[in-house]
Amino acid sequence: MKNHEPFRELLALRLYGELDDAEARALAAHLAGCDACARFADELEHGLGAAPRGETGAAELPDGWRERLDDAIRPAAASRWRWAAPFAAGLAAGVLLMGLRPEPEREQRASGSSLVTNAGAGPELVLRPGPPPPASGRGTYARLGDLLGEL
Amino acid sequence: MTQAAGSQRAAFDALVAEHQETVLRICRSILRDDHLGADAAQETFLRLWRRLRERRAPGSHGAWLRRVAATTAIDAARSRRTRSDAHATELAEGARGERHVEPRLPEEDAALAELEQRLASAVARLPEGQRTVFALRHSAGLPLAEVAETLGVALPTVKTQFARACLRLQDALSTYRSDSA
Repeated sequence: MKNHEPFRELLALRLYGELDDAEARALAAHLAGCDACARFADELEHGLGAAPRGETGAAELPDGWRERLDDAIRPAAASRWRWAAPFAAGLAAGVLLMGLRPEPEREQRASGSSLVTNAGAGPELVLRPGPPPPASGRGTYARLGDLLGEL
Repeated sequence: MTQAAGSQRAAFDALVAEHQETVLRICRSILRDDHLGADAAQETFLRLWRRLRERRAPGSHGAWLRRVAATTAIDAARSRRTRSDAHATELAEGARGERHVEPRLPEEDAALAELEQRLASAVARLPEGQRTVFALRHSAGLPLAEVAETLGVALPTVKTQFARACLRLQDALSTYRSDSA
C-alpha cells in the first residue's frame, strides 16, 4: 500500500509556494495517478487555504511605541553615572537629616511629651526652633561621612 | 552627545525604521497578542541598542533581529504558559479577543471570522515547534528559508514541521466542518 503522507505534506507546502523544483515534479507525478491525493488537494485549498493569513501587509505600530522605545534607551546613555546614584541619594538624605536633627531636649520631647493636649482643641504637635548646634570641632563633611557610614 | 554616540543613535534609528514592522509581526504572530507582541519588539530593539553601545553590532542586522525577536517572543510565550496551565484556552481567547466579531457582519465575513477562530484554537494545540514555525510562516509571512534562518534550524526540518502543522490544522478544520454540517 502506498504511503500518501509525504505527498500530503508536499501539498501543504505547495499551498504556501514552498516547493522546490524536485518536490514539485515528484508531487505532479504522484497526483497524476492518485485520486485520493487530488481530492485532498482540493479539500486543503478550501480548508486551510481559505484561512486569512494574518499580517501580510504593513504591521501597524501601537500608539506611542516609538516614544516608549526612545524613553527606554535614554537612561542607558547615562549609565556611566549610574554607580553614583546611591552616593547622591545618601548625600541628599544626610543633608536632610542634618537639617531636621533634633537637639537632646527635643529628642526627649519626641519620646513622650511633644504632643501636648490643648484643652478642647485636640492634640497639637509642638515644634520649637532649637538653639544653634554646639560647635563639635568636626566639620560638616565629617558628619556627613558618619551619616553615610550609617547608611 | 559625542560624535560616536550620535552615529550609534543614527544607526539605531535607521535599523528601527527598516526592521520594526518585521520584528513586530514576528513577535505578534508568536504571542498572538498585540500588547505582548509590542513589548517583545521593544525588548528586541533594546538588545540591539545594547549591542551597538558595546560596539558588537551583528553582522546581518535583519537576520539577527528576526532571531532575537523570535526567541524573545518564544520566551515570553513560555513564561505566560508557565503562569497559566490553560495556555491553549488563553491563546484561543486572545485570538478571539484580537479579532472580535461584530454581531452584524455579513454572513461571509462571519464565516471567515469563525474559520479564523477555529484555526487559532487549533494552532494553540500544536506542539511548540510546529506552532512557532506555522506562526512565522502563516501569520508573520516569513518564507520558510527565513524561518529556518531565524530559528537556527535546517530548512528541511522546518519544511517538515510546517507541513505537519498544516496537516494537523487541516484535520482540525475539516473535523469542525463535518461537525457543523
